[in-house]
Order: sequence, then C-alpha cells, then structure tokens
Amino acid sequence: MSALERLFFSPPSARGIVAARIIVVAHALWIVLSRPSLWSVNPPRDLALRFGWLFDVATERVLFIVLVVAIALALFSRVASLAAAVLLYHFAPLEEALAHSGDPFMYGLTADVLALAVLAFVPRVRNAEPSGDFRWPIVLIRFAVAAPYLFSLVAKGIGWFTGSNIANVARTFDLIGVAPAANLVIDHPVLAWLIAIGWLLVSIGMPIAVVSRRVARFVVPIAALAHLAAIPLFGVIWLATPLLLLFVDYSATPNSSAHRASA
Amino acid sequence: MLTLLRVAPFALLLLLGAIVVATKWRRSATITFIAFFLIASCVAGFAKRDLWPFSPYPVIAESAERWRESIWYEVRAVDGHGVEHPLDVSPFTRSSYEKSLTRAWPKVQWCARLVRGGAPIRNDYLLGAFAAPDWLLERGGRTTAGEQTIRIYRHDVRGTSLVREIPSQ
Repeated sequence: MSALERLFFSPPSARGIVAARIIVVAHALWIVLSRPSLWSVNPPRDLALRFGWLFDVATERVLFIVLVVAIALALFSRVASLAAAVLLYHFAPLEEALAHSGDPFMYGLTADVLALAVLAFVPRVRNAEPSGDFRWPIVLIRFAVAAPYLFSLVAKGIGWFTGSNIANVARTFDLIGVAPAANLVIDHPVLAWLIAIGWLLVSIGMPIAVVSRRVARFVVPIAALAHLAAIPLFGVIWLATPLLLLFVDYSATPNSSAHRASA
Repeated sequence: MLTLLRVAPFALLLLLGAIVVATKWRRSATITFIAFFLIASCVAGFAKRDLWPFSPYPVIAESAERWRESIWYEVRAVDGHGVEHPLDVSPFTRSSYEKSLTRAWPKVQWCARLVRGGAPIRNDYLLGAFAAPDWLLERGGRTTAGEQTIRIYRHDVRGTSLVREIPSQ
C-alpha cells in the first residue's frame, strides 16, 4: 500500500465521520443561528449571479429556515448535507457583501461549506464495517480547515513574519481600538518575535498535521492557544477555531491507543 | 463569464461527488473527487484567485509597515438622553458595517436601509451571550435598540474624532 493510499484509504471506523458531522454541524449552526436575519441583507447586484442572490425577501426567509433545518439534519442525512452545503454557499458570503472586502472566510463558514459538501458523498455509516471510504472525507475536511494557515502563509510571504511587522500589526489594531492588550506586543520586541516565529511554524505545521498525527498532536493545540491569545493581543477572533477539534483522531479506540502506547 | 468561472469549481465538486455516489464509491471516481478538491484548493491558494469557497485566504496579509496610514470609522448609537452606546447593526456585524463606511465614504447609509423585509432580528436574539461574535473584537459590548442618532468617529494616528452625526429618520 503506497503512502498516498494509506493516507486517503487506510480503513478507520465510521466513528470519525460521525464525530466530523457533529463538529461541523454544531459549528455551522452556531454561526448561522448567530445571524438569524441574514436572509434580509440587501445583496449587491454584481455578485447576484455568482451566489444565486436572485430571490425576493420572502423566498430568502424560507430558504434560510430550510438551511437551518438542513444543517441540523446533516447529522444523519447525506441529502440534507448537500442541501446545507448549497444553501450555505448562498448565504455565507452575504455578511461580507456589504463591506465588499473579499474576505468571506473571516466570518467562519468557509470550511463548513466544503466540509458539508464532502460529507454529502460519504457512504452510509450506520452499522458499517471499517472502510477506506471513511478516511478520505476526514482528510479533505482537515485540509479545508488547514488551508487558511497554508495559503495565508503564501499570501503573506516569509518576510511578513518578523517581530517589527507583528508589532506594527498590533499598532494597527490598537489604533482602531479593538486590541486591549496590544501594548504587550508593541512594547516587547521579544514577544513580537516569538509570535512571528510561532505563527510561521503553525502556518507550516497545520498542513503537515493533515497527514501526520504526530505533528497534529503538537501543532493543533498551539494553533488553538494562538487563536485565543490573538483576541486580546490583536482583537482578532478566528471563528473557525472550534473546527480544530476535527484533528482529534476519533477512529482510534481506547484499546488501540493503549496497544500503540505499549508497543 | 468570470462569474460563471468562479462558480464552476464548487459546482464541479458537487457534480464529481454525485458521480462518486452513483458509481458506489468506485475507486477511480473517488480519486477524481479527492484530486479535484485538492487541485481547486491549491489553484485558489497558490494563484491567489477567489474561487470561494476555495479561497486564497489573504488574512491580514499586507505588511503593516504603513500602519500610520490606517483609518477606521467607528459607529456609536446615541439614545434620546444623548448617551452613546455601541450600535447594533444586525444582521451585519460591526466590522462589516464599519468597513463598508470606509469603502463608501462619504456616501454613508444608515444600516437599517441596507436590509429588506422590515426590522432585522438582532444577531444575539436566539443564542444570547453564546452568539458567535464579530471577527473583530467589539468595543464596549452590545447596544440597546431605539437609538435616535448615529455618530461616526474616525480613528487614525492623530487620535479619535467625530466626523459625522446622522439622525435615524
């Protein structure tokens, strides 16, 4: 069995899929129910065709209710998962449409759209034997969660990760009044450099964590702590942070973990 | 045409997924689905193309060297007693509304005029304190309804200044 085959098809139990569904559904519902009148946003015309913003407000209200029901039912149903993915594609960018700043991923639903689209095509899990087809969906969903780290590293370039730039980022958020502890970063160059190097390592480590459990064990908790620290230091809340729970290996039984540990 | 090109990756992903199910998870169909998912993600990410939900994720990607040139408009609600509160801009978040002020300045619109179908439901109506926050940490918590006026403040390197007051009606 090649390494790629092992990565995408080595048979885990269906429990990983069940856990992924619970995490993705809970996260998507959390965000969608926190924007209960997203359907009433007046969408910009130039993006209407791309996101299907072609309906009157009464239809949008009904579609939003269907979205909430579909996300909830996606716990059990592949058809509901597909409907939720399509409707999230329709609704998720609306919040950002007003600002028109091209960053719908900041509003937390981007990985959920892709995860629900993947979960729509997973084999039936009830009473299922371990199968390679329960492995690749988890790898793809983890990749969707890790993509922001990898590609924002590409967008930033290595030169972005310096202590002075991190201090200037803190100054920017301090200037707009959203970062209550920004001075810690501004006044302490060592801390700014520590953040720069740490974030660079997390950005490199997260895509590796998709393929390596060992790396995931270290990098994912550090990424979670970094997101928590970023709230007071920079005033930035990464709404997809709960999706890091998808990197826990739910397919491993307690017995197999103990067996691996003793081996 | 460009619009359709940007819709295509997500539409094609769903089509390939349907083929995976229709072929009862035949290995070749599954591998095509996996490969397409990864290639679409990498094209968006490495070529920095917006194919959302395949995204290039330019998260605060510019160098902050020019931080002194940053400008941010903040909105505050003023009640009938002249007391200022943070403005509830449901169904938007404050960051998206305030960013739109910067982009649309000086053609600023009261946020209620940017929605249709009557008064919007507050973002925290269903989940209360557990509602997902804005991605930008909010200043001063949440507001009460019934504001008479909104005040727009400008934050820049010189400090904070009142730049406009807009009556609600």
